[in-house]
Amino acid sequence: MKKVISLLLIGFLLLLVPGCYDYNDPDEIAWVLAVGLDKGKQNKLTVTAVVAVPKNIAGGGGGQPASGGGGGGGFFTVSMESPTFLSALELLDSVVDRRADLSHIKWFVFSRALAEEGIAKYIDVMARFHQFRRTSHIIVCEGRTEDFLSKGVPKLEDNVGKYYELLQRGWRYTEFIPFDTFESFYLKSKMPGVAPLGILASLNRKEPVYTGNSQKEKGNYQAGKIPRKGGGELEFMGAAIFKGGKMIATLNGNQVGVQKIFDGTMKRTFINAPDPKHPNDFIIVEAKPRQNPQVDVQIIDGYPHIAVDIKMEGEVVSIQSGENYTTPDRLYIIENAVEKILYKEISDTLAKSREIEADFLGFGLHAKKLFLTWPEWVAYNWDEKYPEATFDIKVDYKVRRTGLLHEMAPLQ
Amino acid sequence: MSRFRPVVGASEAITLLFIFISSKVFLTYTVFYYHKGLNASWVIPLITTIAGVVVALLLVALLNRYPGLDLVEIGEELAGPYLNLLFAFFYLALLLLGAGMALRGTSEGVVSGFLTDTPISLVIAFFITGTMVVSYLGLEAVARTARFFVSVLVVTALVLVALTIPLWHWDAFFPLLGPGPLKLLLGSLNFTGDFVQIILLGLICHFLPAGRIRAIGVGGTLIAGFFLFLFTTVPILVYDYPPVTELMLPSFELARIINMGRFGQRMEVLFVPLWVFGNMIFLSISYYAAAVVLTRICKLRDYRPFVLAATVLTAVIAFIPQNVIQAAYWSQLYLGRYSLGMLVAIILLLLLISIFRGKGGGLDEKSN
Repeated sequence: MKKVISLLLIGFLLLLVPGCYDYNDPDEIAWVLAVGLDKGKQNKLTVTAVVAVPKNIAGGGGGQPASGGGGGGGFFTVSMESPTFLSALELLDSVVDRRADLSHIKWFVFSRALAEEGIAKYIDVMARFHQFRRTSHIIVCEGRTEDFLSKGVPKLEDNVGKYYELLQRGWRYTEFIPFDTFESFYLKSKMPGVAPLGILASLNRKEPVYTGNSQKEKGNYQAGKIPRKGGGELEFMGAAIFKGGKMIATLNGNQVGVQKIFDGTMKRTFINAPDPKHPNDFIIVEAKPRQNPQVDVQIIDGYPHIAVDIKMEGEVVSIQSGENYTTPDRLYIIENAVEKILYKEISDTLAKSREIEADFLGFGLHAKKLFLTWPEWVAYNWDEKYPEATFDIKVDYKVRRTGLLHEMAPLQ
Repeated sequence: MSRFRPVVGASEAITLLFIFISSKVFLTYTVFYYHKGLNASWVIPLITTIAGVVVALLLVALLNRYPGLDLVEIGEELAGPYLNLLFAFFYLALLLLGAGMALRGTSEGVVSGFLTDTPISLVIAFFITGTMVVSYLGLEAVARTARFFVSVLVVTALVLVALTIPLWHWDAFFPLLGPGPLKLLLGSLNFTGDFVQIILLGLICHFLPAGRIRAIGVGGTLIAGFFLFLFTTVPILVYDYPPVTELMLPSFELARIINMGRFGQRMEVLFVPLWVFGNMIFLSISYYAAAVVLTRICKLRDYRPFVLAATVLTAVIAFIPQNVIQAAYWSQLYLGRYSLGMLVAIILLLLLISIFRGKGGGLDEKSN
């Protein structure tokens, strides 16, 4: 009996000899690293896929153009007209010799025009289809994504996948890039009490953005409006706010910074505070959150009253006027100046959220603690009440360090 | 086969029981909690665990009145062969339906998440082949296999949970009472069948150390309850309500969302043993237990010829649902909702008959 069973098992194992159904050699796959969606020209959608060229990545041929539409040596792009997102994937298999695989996608890029029309119908597939990952990022670009992706050639990297990851990872070093993965975007899209946002991006604008050299705060820029020359073709700055699956507004860099303070994803930023004694000069400090923001929501007369208490700390980086504020009895001058600018940025951002009627700062997540049951919370209708909310803002900034200088001696 | 000559140790028995009860956390099953308990669904496994402990104590009370007999034999003695045949078929249905739905769910999960081009029949064939061999080798082989893998399963499960900690949103617990206390309590009743696998205790009691059955029953139930609680709560914390209700395989999605920098991604492959071994041990136990019930029905001594029969029946049941959604709904509806109540009715009936007749030698576990 044992011999019979053994023979049967061995016979069954023979099925393995021809190889398994899901056998895929990595060098027989076209790894798609980003997908862009535009309003179509010849069909409903134009879907652009960025396909890696591994031989050029491995061989360091980043500067040489690859065959195909656009791209550098490390990748090429293919733009296809199709009625749906995934039907373009099948079309891609018709024009690329290797089987396309979406499991390494870093970015889902939507053109602003499509985002304003609504992207709800496209995000379902990203959550449902097994090749997509929720750790990817949602990006909204000014202009068409086919241009954005094909011209976005890395300068410092051979590996375009690494380039995409590092560019997005700028959220750690600058307050101007939001941190919202597709997962976060998707959850916020489905939950009452918070609005999702995507990264705002653009190609480098060649013509001047502003006329005149009047003073402008650095955080007032957003992607597509950063006055610059040189550098990479792509720029990330600001955010696109969504409500009901449609993009309804954009945030500039400063507003994204405030959103990140409340989201708990702010790492550090530089603040240019006007010098109170020298109006034409700045005191420049580095600021980091000292603790999570304290948010206290109360319902007064049926409407929310939100008290926020922001505590930050940091280091003096520069005092342009040369005034010696770095003595124990004068540090408060710097602290007050920074608190004043932070207060203004927070107030402006709160005003913006009420103006566009979207709670992208997530106060609703604090408000729901006031309700005992889910039906009560849903019945309160936070989205309707939030624009009428009142705010009480407290900002506290402490100077911890003064850099490598102890006290400044005046210029002679 | 005397119960005073233990073959399966207490820790092995607890392992068998807790894996048999809690392996459902690797399937779609817990998603139904979220439909009833909303964001407070974490309360449901706590309530059902209490129900499970109560049923375990009832079952142990019955078994202790008839040392040396298992649940089917006790039924035969107390209710007679005809009524007991119905009870035995109920036990068989529980085991085979549970195994069939688990086999389908696991195989569909493998096809959806990993082997997308492989026919489901081949995946099912692999699962059946491996689990049938272990069952055929007997309870000791099943228990030793479970004991061998349990540390891998527990450590992997806890690592999976730990890696998701940075993604937890504590505000997901609010509003604290979810649908409201009454709806939460009533909703929990739909899931008491989570613990119907406690029936295993009644079928393997011969092999357990004398005087330890109560400890095994309660211990296995509580550990299973802990894992049910853990794998119900963590998806809520990570995915929040209502998005958590959309997930097909919450534990699989937990692994997919782990992201530790550029190199700590796509880690679900590391957790494959968790899903595969957990469900394979569940299937092995199911085949063995079903074979035991068939052996008792036919009044034979050797369970082995029935292992193949149980396996074939399980495969047939696995293919009855037309799709994975139907399999998940049937599993919740027929096993989750009603099964524990029916098992409790049988146990209570047998206990009442036993008390009425004044039968049973009784075993005082404290004296052992």
